[in-house]
Amino acid sequence: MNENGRWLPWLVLGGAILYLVFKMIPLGDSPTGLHLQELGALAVQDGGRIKPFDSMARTTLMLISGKQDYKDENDRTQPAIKWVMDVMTHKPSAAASKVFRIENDQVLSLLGLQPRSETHFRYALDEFRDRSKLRQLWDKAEAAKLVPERERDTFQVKVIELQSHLHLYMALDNQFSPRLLPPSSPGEQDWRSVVEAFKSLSNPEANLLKIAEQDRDLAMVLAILKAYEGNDAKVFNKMVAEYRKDVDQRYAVDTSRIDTELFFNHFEPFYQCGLLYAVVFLLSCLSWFGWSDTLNRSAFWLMVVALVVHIWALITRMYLMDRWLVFVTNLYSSAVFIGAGCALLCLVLERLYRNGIANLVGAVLAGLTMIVAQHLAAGDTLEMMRAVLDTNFWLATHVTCVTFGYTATFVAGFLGLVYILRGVLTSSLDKDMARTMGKMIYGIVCFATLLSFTGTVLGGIWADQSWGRFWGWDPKENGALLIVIWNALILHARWGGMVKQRGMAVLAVAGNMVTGWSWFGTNQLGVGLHAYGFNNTLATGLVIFWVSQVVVIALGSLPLQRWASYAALTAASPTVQPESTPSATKPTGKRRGKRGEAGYFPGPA
Amino acid sequence: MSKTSIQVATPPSAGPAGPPLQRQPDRLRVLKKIGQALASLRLTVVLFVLSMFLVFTGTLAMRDSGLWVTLSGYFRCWIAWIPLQVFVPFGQVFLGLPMNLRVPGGFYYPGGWLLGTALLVNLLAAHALRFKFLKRADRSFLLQHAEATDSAAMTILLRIAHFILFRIAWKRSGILMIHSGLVILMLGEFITGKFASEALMPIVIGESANYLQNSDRVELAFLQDDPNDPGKEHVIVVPDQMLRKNGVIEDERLPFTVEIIRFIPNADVRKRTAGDEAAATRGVGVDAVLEEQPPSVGADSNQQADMPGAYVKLSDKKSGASLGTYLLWVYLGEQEIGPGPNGYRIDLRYKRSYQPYQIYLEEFHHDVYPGTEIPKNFSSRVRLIPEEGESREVVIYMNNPLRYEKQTFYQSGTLKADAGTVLQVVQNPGAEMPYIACALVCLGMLVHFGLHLGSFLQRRTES
Repeated sequence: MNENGRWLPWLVLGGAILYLVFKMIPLGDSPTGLHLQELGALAVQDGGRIKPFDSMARTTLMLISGKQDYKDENDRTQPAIKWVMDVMTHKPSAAASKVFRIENDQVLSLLGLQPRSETHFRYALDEFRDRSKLRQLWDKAEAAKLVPERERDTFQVKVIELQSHLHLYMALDNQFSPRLLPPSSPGEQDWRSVVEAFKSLSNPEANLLKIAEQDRDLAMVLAILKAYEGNDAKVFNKMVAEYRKDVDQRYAVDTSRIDTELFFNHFEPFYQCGLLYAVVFLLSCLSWFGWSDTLNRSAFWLMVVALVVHIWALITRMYLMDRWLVFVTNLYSSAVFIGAGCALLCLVLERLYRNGIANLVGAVLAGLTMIVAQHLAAGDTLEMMRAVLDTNFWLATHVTCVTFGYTATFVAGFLGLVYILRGVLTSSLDKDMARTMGKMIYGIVCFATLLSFTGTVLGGIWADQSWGRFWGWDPKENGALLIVIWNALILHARWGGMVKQRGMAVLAVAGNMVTGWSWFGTNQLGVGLHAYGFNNTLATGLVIFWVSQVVVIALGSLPLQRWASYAALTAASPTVQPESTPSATKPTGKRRGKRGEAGYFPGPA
Repeated sequence: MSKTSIQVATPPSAGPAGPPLQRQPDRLRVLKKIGQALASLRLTVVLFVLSMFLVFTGTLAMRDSGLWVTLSGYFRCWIAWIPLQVFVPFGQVFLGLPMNLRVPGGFYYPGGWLLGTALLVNLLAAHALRFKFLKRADRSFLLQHAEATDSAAMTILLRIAHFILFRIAWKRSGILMIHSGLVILMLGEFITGKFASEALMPIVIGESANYLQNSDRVELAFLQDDPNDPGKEHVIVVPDQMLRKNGVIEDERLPFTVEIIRFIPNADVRKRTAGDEAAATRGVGVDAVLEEQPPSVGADSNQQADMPGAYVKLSDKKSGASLGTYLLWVYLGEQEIGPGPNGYRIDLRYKRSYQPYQIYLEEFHHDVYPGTEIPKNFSSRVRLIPEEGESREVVIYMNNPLRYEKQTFYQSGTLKADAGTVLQVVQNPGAEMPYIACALVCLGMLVHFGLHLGSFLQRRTES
């Protein structure tokens, strides 16, 4: 190892921790301005759970604009809660802020808008608030709703989507949302919006004092809104603090959960992880050009830090949902969980082999899953579970296990990918490296078989427990079955000597395609019990992924003479028949090496 | 698999077991070759690929033809017919093919049972031909005990124990467990496919039900109250297959002839408008018409069953006078036939099978998450009343079924406007097999891969 580089891992580690600590520091309210942070800590009921107002504002804005903050009419970045309050108090800036994301050409022309990439296709309501245009939009959307869901074309889907976004806006504008007011009587569960509370007044009045006599909470909220409207920071801050304390106490709001969620929102741990994984990737790439040992060690320790944050985030999500060990509740959480699983598995591999490959694979996979998750995050990612899914035991066992099976299959597949790319494009895949990578892939495939089989079977048992069908041939179940069979196929092909390292790498890459299908493809078909998320972007993304994997498989199937590593090897010693290079399709009839790792049935003596 | 090819290619003396090949008669050699081909890992891999394609196309087929059609046409059959149209939805979702694309043609393909059987044969052949048992410890203390004891059961048990402990190498025990688990799993799925039955039991709150309802079949029922016993009624049913071929049905027990004018496998009822021909002349359907619907998709997210309807004309057996044409539909309920003989009622309903017990629905809950429409739980408090013996109260809710006799009752759905519950009743003689199978496979994998990992780590520390 290079003596000069000893300080580098420490530097990277220290830098990462400093950065994270910096990101953790709460923003805080300015003493003289409006206390929007404190406002964000108010409890609201949304999507079936009590959460901070801040979360509700972020998810609403996220749905409409695809981001959790926005640029106001003066082009300054503002928090989501400011926008929500602006809409609720009918401030002119609300309709002037460019928050509606409209990308579809047909929808844009319907509203008479020009495609505008400089604002990332975000438009202000003022730009299309025209009675006749909105009327048209409404008619188109209502017509589109009559078309069965799976037969709708992109325009129809997008028109309905925009209409639902306008509904969200209108709900805020009419103060039908959020549900800021606790239930009127202790036995009730439903929180109330301003309008609901106002309508249930026995004696509706405009005078706040008169309202306060009937419904103190309502009077407080109205006063807060009024102070916000008048930009009266002093009254606003006093009322918000008082109201928060009052509600939290009287309704026993779980303030530690609220505070944790606020911190989570602010810290954005998955985003920070994504950044760290990107740096790990860079370090791993740099290690090919020199200082490889110290750079790999830096990458390793940085990945450890990223994984700690990642796992903390997963645990925090479970705490917020109050579902321990339930890592995965929807597609979004499956993506972030798979990311953590990949990183963890690769750290273990890196520890065992110390060759930097697992670092690279882990960083790529974890980073990619973060990007995928970003695209899946529509609305509240901590959503409630529908009746049949509402069981912590099976969510914790079956779903976790199956998802971990996906994880392992992906890790094996990406190791295969590295094997092929290195072998074909570089001369660095020598005999030892090929053998080591073969072992890595083989070990992970074994692991993947175990996990995916166990997970699939646990799902079957759950199904048998809940509706008496062990195997329902549901598309998602079938997808998991495909992964199991594919992994078993790789193992049997190897045990039978049909493939060796190269063949296994090629098969493992094909495993990526199978897993991609099982993870997202089956949902896209819109059939079955697991059909919980059709998404156009996902369909396109999946096709791109498949095509890329097919390209790698094609590369891997190139004749060995075309492999750069093979050329380098034969050039070095022309007589050597490298062990890394038996053809994937032609059996050599030679039993491979040691029996301990490969023995299946005892061979001829 | 390579070993097969080695054994064929290498000199005979290299064979793993048995006398050298030259001495074997030709017929034996051919048999051995066939056996080796059946047992080969190459065949395993080919079968895996074939199975994956079948599972994949079956999944695609579910989109348009529903769960049960796919099950019987792909997985629970010997030969499957795969229409090319199956691949179109895939192209539509992922590759942007036009929505109205229709592709004719198709091809035959080995069905689930054929592939399953082939895998089974392959597996058994592999174990029979290539699995070597250890020679050591031919006479263990267990065997000695086995020979000494008189009890036959004990002898067998001891012999099995000896076999497991001394004749199987530990290294192979994982594989053996995995494979025997898989055999049980496949047999279990076969038994389920052949013998399991699923039916629904809808119950209205405050009422009881004593029959199961099979929503892929209907029956035409003629009901008549028993004049001597007010609580009882006589039922004569016309089964499904007779209804589906339109025509005239006569039965000596019925005082009229029944003509099925039109049977519609999936229909909806709507009000008759000016343009519609008046089809029904009597009963509640006079002002309505049946509208044909496309067959519903079983694996659809809302799991709809087909709702058949029919126009049925009745005429007096003796005089031949018409008793009217009735519009019948599965959710329309009983209709009086009249004015006519003996107060008969007519009803097209899902096929019922009566049970020796009653279930009375005391309470039904449909909970949602506060402030949303998302269902949180469905639960039914029922009283199970057997023909003889004590009745008992049970709460059935999601993931918590009632097991009674050989049937299992699951909370499945709700009647319109939460008026009652729908239970799914399953009877499956193979229900326990997957549990045993899975325990075996998982344990086997842990042993097998655990041994690998152990030796790998050991070699690592050594080097």
